[in-house]
Amino acid sequence: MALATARTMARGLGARITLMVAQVVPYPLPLAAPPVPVEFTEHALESIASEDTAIEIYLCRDRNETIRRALPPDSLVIVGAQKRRWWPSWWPSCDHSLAKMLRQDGRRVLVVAV
Amino acid sequence: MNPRTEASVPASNSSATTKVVVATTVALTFISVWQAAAVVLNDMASTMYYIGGIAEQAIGKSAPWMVVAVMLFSYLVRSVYMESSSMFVRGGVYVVVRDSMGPTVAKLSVSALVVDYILTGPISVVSAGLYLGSLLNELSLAFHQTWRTNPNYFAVFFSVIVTCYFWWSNIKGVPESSTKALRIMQITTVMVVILLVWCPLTLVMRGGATLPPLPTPSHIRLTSESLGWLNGTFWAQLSFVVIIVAFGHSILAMSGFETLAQVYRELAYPKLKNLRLTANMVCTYCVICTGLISVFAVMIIPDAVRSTYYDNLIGGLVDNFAGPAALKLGFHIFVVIVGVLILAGAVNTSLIGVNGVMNRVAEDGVLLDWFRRPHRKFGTTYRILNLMALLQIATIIASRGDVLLLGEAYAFGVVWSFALKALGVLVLRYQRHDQEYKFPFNIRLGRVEIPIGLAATTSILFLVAIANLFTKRIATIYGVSFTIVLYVLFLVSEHINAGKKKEHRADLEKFNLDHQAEIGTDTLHARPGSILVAVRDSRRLWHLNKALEKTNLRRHDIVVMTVRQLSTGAAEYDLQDDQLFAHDEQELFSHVVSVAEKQGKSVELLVVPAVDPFDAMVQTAARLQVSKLVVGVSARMASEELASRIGLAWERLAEPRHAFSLEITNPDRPSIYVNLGPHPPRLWPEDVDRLHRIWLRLCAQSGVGSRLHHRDVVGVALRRLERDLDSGDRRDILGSLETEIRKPDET
Repeated sequence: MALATARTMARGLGARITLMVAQVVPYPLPLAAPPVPVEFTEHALESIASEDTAIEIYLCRDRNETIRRALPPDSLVIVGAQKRRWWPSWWPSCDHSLAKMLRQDGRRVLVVAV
Repeated sequence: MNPRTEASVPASNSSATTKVVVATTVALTFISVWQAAAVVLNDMASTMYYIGGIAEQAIGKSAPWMVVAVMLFSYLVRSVYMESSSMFVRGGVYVVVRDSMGPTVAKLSVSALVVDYILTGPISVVSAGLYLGSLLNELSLAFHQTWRTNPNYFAVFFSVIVTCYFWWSNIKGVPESSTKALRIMQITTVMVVILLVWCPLTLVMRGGATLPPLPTPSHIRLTSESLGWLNGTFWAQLSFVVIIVAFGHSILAMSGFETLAQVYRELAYPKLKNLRLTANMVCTYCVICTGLISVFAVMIIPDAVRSTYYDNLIGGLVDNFAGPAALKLGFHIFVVIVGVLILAGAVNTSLIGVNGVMNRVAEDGVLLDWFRRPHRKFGTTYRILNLMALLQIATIIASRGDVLLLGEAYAFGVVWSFALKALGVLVLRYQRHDQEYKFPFNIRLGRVEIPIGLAATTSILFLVAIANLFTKRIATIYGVSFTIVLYVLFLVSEHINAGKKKEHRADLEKFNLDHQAEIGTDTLHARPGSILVAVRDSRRLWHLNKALEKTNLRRHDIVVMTVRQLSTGAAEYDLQDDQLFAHDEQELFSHVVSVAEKQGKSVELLVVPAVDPFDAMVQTAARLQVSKLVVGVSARMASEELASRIGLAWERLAEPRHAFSLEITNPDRPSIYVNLGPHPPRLWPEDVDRLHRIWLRLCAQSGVGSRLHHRDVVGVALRRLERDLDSGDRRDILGSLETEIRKPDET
């Protein structure tokens, strides 16, 4: 859903889409050895991304901090937020927290429910 | 972090650079001492929930002192890990033992480590279940209900559910966030602080209490169970043996130390100092929380009822605090919530850890590829996870919720992996000489260094391991059987894999490659003013080391580049990955990453294909707007010649040319600095004196007075020199310059 929204916007703006994935590698695994191989994630993402979409996979310990550091300061960010069945809607999800943090950094953020 | 970074190129007219390759790897983010300590403590501090009860059941009322002794001994084990980490940036038990004592012992040690991991989950989660079961009974009693549960059966039920939950999380590859480690430790610290305030307060209100008896042979009460096969033998009469056996029953208080080796790679600069800080914080925290809380438990919980709290010692401590019942119940609930968080998390860590270890040994060809087949939907190595989760569930059910039984078995894996690691480090003391840190207490006899401290610590660990082998019957049967099964599995796998062995260098870093047509400061994550280090030979990286040492990363980024030399005309075709980034580049950058990791500083990596390496270096420096280009002294040409060639390449740059300095580093001599482009010269002192004398004479004679400056004198001299060069005096001038050039050597 987020990717579809990004595609629609990119068409209008003539912009390029970058699909950014911060893949968290838990301790005690070495950072270079994620539980899901990067090739597998790449393959899975290639099947949903179109040809003009760049895929960037980041292996990290902290998802939010990585996205914060990797995003160019003036980028338009579309965050796909998962709908939650068991939590009240006002309770902030990690996706909404990420969006809030990026907005605080001065980026333009669009949250799309998926 | 493993960014697939957008990157850059020096587009050039003289060298045929078509595009550059930015190589990125994961070793580029570093964590603070606090984060590292939190990660290690998440594994180590959880033992405080069960060690006191287990040790007292085995050795009697003096057990808390033995737990304190183990925690103090952990400072020595800390030094073993520090020495090992100073040699291997990524040195877990397996790597250290393999490199020191060969693959056979390494297989044994990794088998012991896997046993350790398999049992970490059950002991932690069963302990959490026992705390939770006991709390439910207390709550039921507090609310005048008749409902009661058998804590042991409840613990088994709870443990199986939790293990299944984390097994499924790992199959899906959904990781628990690492930042949670810090949160959990913050909550745990709050609990520990409350306990450490409430315990003395209770003792004061009660008018004091007696300390547990000291762990002397006369006070240590070893039962027939805790003596195992030594029961009734001559050995059980020896005081020394009694102390070692008692120590062995408390050794699992130190479990979780292996995580220290895992976090070392990611520690920030200065790495070794930060490792020492992290390890000291961890050991001190454990002495306080695990050691002192066990002591307070014996002092506060009456002897008559303490045995009922062996499985739930901190719960029992809270129940016996002085204070209102409601407050105690509230805190008891908090203690159990913290316990469930930290202990249940250990199941997850154990599954992740064992999966990582098995995958690591598989890379060395000692595990069949069948185990590593990725899950069709989630991509995880589900066969290893299935096997390990099944073993954990079988262990939980077989234990019937008996945490003492699990503790006995757990100690087997813990102590043998420590002992083999320490032996590995000891052997390496005689095989390698690049230890940046050495275990203290070494004496030198002539040219031979005798590592007394390290040898003594290794001996103690082996004595404890051997004592455990005879005293912990179930642990020995369980541990040895598992170790043999795993060892045979590794052996068979290795034999089968030997037939289809491919050339694979596990020590080489994996890099993501990103081809770019443009180079720039924004795309390479290098700010203007960064330091560019040119590398070529993986054995000659001293200039990189020097640059890393001297550079403050807050002010300057470091870009490490290598030039992939091409023949003229190569730019007409698109170059493939393996043409631009071949095995040589992979090996070179693996060394670069390893040097950077050792210093705890991040670097950006860049491969520039070019015909002329000097042009490539200068153009890259100009495009990145670096403040300094660092190169090592060349084996093929003198430093002056090298500087001259780089200077000429700079002259070929298109206007406006970016000015920067060049540092030519020599391992034995001070670096040579050259400013490229127009810059004020550094004059010889005698020339400065001469200039001043001329200026004084001119001031006195010409009548220009205060309007004449030194620069005017230099300006006139240079213009006259320029004119003379075009006249018939050219030969004389060149002769004088030749004499001038020789002057530094003569002086």
